[in-house]
Amino acid sequence: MLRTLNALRGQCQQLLRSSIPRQKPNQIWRMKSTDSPEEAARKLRLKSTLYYITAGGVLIVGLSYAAVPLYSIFCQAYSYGGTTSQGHDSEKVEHMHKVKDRILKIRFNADIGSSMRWNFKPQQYEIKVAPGETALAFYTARNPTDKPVIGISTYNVIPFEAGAYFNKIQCFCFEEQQLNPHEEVDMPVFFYIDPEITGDPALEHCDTITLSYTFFEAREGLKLNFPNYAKPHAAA
Amino acid sequence: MTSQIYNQKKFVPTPPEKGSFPLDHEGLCKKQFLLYASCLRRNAQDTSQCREDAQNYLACRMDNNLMERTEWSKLGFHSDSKPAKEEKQDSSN
Repeated sequence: MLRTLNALRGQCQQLLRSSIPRQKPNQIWRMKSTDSPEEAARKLRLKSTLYYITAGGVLIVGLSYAAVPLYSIFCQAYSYGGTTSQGHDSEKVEHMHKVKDRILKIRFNADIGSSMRWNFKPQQYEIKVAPGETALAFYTARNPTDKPVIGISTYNVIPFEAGAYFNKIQCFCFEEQQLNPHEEVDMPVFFYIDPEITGDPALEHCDTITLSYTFFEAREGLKLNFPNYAKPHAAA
Repeated sequence: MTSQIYNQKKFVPTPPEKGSFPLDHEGLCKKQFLLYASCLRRNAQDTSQCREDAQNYLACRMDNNLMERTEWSKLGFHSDSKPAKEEKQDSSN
């Protein structure tokens, strides 16, 4: 009985050895001198393919990381997508042409912070302006209290894409303004709409732009999101 | 808060080219302002009809030290009929 079992075992082992290929998995990578030429070529092709694929993957990952700063540099250089460089120059104001066939309505909105005690309103609800032409608009602020109140304002332009074309020559924002008790002042905004707005496809059907100013009370420790060119009023 | 959303387009308020207008506490240019406002009302809020009044207002501001003196062309006023009107206004003041 034992002898037959041993014989069976020997036969099974022989069968297994002959059917399973001798090479272990990691021997695919090692080219041996015992390999036939076809085997060697196959192994070489396999290795090169794998190296190429890995390199391609690393390249794609690297490119996607590098794309972020490269793209912003490109946009800044070519003013693509509305990311114009900061501000505008006065040369432009001198030489720009009025676009007569597109009249835009500019609406004015005035808001105050929740603890602000001024009465602040626009003097005109809306005006019609042509791109390329400078325009003047007014807001009125009144201090009904018995104490001088210092306010500081910021603005917003809606629709968002139109903000890139809205250039202010002079206004009353980002600087602290003081109003004495029971005083009322007119605050002008002198601005123009860049004539390049006619070339922007996103604003093709836009004919109303809303300019919204908000006044906050300037207090010690009041932290607002101001750009770093905003400076406090020099002691008058 | 929207500016804190990463990689979204942010609205960057740009500084005005000439900075901020000093406040007209004494109402020195109130008359020109009222003329401009009434011109707008007459012309159905069309600013291209009221450029002269706007120019008068800015001239008043410049005269009273409420605005830096600049050439009219730099402010977008290219009409050459303006200087005569400006003198007339000053003499009537």
